[in-house]
Amino acid sequence: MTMATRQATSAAARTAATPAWHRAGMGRRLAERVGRRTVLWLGIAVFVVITGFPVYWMIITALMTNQQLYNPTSFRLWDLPFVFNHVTYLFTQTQYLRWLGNTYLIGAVDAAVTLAIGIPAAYGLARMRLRGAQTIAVLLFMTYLISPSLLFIPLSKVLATLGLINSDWGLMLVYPTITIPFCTWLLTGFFASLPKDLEDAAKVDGCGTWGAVWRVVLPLSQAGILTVVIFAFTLTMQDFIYMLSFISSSQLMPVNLGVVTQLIRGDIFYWGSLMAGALIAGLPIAIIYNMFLDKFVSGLTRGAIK
Amino acid sequence: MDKTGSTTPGPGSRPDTRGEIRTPFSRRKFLQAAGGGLAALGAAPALAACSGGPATSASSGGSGGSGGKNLRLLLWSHFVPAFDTYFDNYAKTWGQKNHINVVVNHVPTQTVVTHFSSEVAAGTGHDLVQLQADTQPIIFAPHLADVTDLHNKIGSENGGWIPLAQFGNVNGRWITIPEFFIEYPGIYRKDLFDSVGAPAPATFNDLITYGAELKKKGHPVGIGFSACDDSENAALGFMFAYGSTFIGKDGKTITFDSPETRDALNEAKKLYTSAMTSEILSWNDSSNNTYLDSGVASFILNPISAYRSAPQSLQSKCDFVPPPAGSQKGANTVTIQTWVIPKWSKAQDTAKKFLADYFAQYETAFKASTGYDMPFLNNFLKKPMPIIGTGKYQILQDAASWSRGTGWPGPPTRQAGLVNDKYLMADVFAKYVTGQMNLNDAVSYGVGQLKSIYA
Amino acid sequence: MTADAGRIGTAGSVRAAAGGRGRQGGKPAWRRALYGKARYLTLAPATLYMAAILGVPLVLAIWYSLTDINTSTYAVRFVGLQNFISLVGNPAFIQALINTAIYGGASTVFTALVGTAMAFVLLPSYRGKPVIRFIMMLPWTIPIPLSLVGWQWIFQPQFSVINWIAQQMGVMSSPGVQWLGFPDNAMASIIMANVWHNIPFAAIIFVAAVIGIPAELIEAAKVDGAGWWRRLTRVMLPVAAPILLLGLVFNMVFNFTDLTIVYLLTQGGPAGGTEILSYDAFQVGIQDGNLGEGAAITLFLLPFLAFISFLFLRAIRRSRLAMS
Repeated sequence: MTMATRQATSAAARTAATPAWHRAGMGRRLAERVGRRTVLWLGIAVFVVITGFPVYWMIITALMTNQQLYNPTSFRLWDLPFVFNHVTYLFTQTQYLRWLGNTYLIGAVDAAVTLAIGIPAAYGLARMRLRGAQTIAVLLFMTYLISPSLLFIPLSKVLATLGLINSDWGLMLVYPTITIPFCTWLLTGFFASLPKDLEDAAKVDGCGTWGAVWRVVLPLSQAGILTVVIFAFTLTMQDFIYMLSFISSSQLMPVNLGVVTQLIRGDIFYWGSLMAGALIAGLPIAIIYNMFLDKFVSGLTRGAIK
Repeated sequence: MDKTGSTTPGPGSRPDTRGEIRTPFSRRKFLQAAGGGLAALGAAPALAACSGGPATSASSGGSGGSGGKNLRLLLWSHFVPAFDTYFDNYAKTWGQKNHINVVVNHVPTQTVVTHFSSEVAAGTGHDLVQLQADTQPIIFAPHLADVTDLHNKIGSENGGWIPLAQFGNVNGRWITIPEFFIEYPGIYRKDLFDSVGAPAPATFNDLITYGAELKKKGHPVGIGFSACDDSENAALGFMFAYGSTFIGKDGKTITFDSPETRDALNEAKKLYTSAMTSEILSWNDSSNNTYLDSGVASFILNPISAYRSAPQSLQSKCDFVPPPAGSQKGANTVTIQTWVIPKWSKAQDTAKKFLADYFAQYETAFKASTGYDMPFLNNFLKKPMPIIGTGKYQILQDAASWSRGTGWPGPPTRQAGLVNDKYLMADVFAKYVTGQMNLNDAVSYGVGQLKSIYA
Repeated sequence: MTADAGRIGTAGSVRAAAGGRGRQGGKPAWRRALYGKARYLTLAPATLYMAAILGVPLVLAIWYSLTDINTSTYAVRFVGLQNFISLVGNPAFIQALINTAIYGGASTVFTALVGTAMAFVLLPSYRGKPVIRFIMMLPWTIPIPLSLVGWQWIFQPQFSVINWIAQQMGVMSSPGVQWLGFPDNAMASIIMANVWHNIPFAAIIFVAAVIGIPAELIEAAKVDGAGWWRRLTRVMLPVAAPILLLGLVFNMVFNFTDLTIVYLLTQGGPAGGTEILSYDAFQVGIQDGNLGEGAAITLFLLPFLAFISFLFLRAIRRSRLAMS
């Protein structure tokens, strides 16, 4: 007998052996499971619509002609033929690719700086009992309380002194102030949850504290580091006010500023290209997120509990 | 590491003091010094501003306040992309001819003031900036260079400045060179008005009467009462047409509470109830464009951008009229673009020469803007003007006669600018026409808000 | 986990064996002292970086709020708390305060609730999950200034797709809801745009928190006869608290201090209906050039937000310690 037939036979035997009232119970549990499954798929549908419909609408707008868009009589959720002139306009008549490149470069540098600064700080907070360290951690977080609506004015002064006005380096200098506090708190929780004895063992082997960090802690922290990287990108890509205040040259603009500058002119909105621009900027990060999401979640998880 | 081999100091460990004499001490000192130095660098220009001295250009200059061989311009993104191309090209060619390195930077349309504010705070930035309202030079007055000589020169060479350009004068010195304004004519569907036997709408009464009929046919009037520039201009248009103002000639006395204001509000309410739909209450600046371009609107008040972006078949059905009249001739406020030279600029003379040369050939610029950029100089307003001198555009040539500055009849002060920025007049109109407030309440609401702005 | 417990014993015994005369004991004393002080160096980069870049601006912001500094004149006078006091008497400011409370509070609550609900959809596995997950991440990965342009189109008075669908379904009459046209609608709209953007963030935080809960704890609770609600409140939430609280306080602070959404979508309108403090500060401080007053508006909520954040942060620390 094969495994499968043996299982089927024994299952049949079990069913025959169970009393009828018990089988009724199984049916009820099955119904429960089906019910739960239905609720699940209902929930999935709801959230796909909530998150996906605006995106869908943006895609459609990017692919329809202006005539189709501005037509109140034949307004539709779906209209063929699709046209690509909005997308082409985006790539040929504006410096969109350049802006994307700027955005991702700035994000990458920010991630690197945040890691370089956040990892030691988080490790110190997690492992070393330092007097006043908790106060510093709290103060770090408190920097979020001053709105950038005011900070950008004095920050301009600081950047001007350093000669970094109208330079992507200026943004790279300022953005870590947005990402460091949150990422430090994340990493602190993460490091605190790593089993201490691995590091201790490494130290006893003669690594020293920093050797232990390098050899033991960091390799274990891939998920946490990935988490920080992804947050660094997302957080820096949300900014608008800083880039508006500091950047004026078109080729230096990150994508948020570039799109708004060139595709919204007074009362003329280039809706098709705007939608295309918005989507294309967000897609790569979403794809990377999805690929690494499990690692990402486990990175946060380690920060949650041991 | 202490004796037990763990990194956390146990309660019993005692730090060895010998080590403190050397490395930690010097390291700490170094870090303190570096941190303090950085802070001081940052603080120096800040303190200078705080103590009331003029904004000094940063010592490590970098990219701002360029020297004589560089000229950096900052302006908005024109809503005719072709004009930006023309202007960037003109600047480059001019630069080549004069051996100057010219850089032109465009920022999003409404945001020049934001960017310029950060430059003012930094004390460094571009050499020539195009601000976006007649009120803005006043706001930044202490940071702007004196351009009286240039102002007079350009004026005298080109037939003189029109009254609308008389802003930006502080104690007898001019701190700005106005370039152009954008007028707000009425754009109407001639075919629709013909179909109800109506002539070109010249008064708000016309709009109320014929607009009502057109609304029944599915073509309402499209004048917004919402939080956007177009609506604020429209509200002021109503007020001017009935002789109402919100501020007096001295720029300080609030004149909003008057029978004329009540007339304007009542006429607006009639128009709203008979000829418009409630969607106009949520419009932004592009909404009336869309309204016209979709074929729905029978009448809007907007710069000709809405007309230009309409499909060809629709354009042939549209025509222009001056802002509607009421008990008085129609008028409304307009968008004004004006050049300033910041004090930190090391290229002020270069900037002045650029402007002088630019204005000398302004006709070309006007053509490049396809007729949008209405000049402030009489010579350029001589009829027939290029592009708008023929056909249905002709009435636009008189735009200066029905266009007014911010805070009219008073000067364009900061407070007047704030009234504009808060879309206060449109707000009052919206509250009354929707019945949210009765007449007296709406007027006192307006007065109250004005008082808090002009306090 | 059990393997770790075993190892702790091992390391401890190793340490004990090393004792005070082990390798570490052989290090010179100055080196150990160096180590003692050098530990603070781990915090140095972070502290110095933030202090160097934000230190001066922060101090300046506070200084501005105590003066009448503005762009139209060089004369600066120290006015003490005058700016703050005059704000309290200004009805427009009070309105902005209320708006901020509504906007910040509602956004945070809805983000937490809807995000948590979405997390329950992300936890189980099912066919097609990667694609569905991808879609659900998009609101967060599309930069918010760009998705706001999308929302402008969705809320467009004439061509709002929401209105069109509702009208097709017969639940809305023409011309439909004016999303950005009335103060209450506009407030709902900005909350909607904000929550939409942040739901994936909240969901991921919640998923992470829940996945990390050891199955044994939940099983034990089930065995004890705890129902779904009890399992949630007595077991899951306390264990997941550190990261949930961090996400919550971060989101809350963002909602109370951000101005991008109002700046790009409603500009404080209509009629001050979405005028929130951060945008008011911008209008007064930047557009009007009255920096002193603008700074005062920005700093007005600081004590309150600082207090709330401090409570959250302390709770996070406590819940971390409670589990170690």
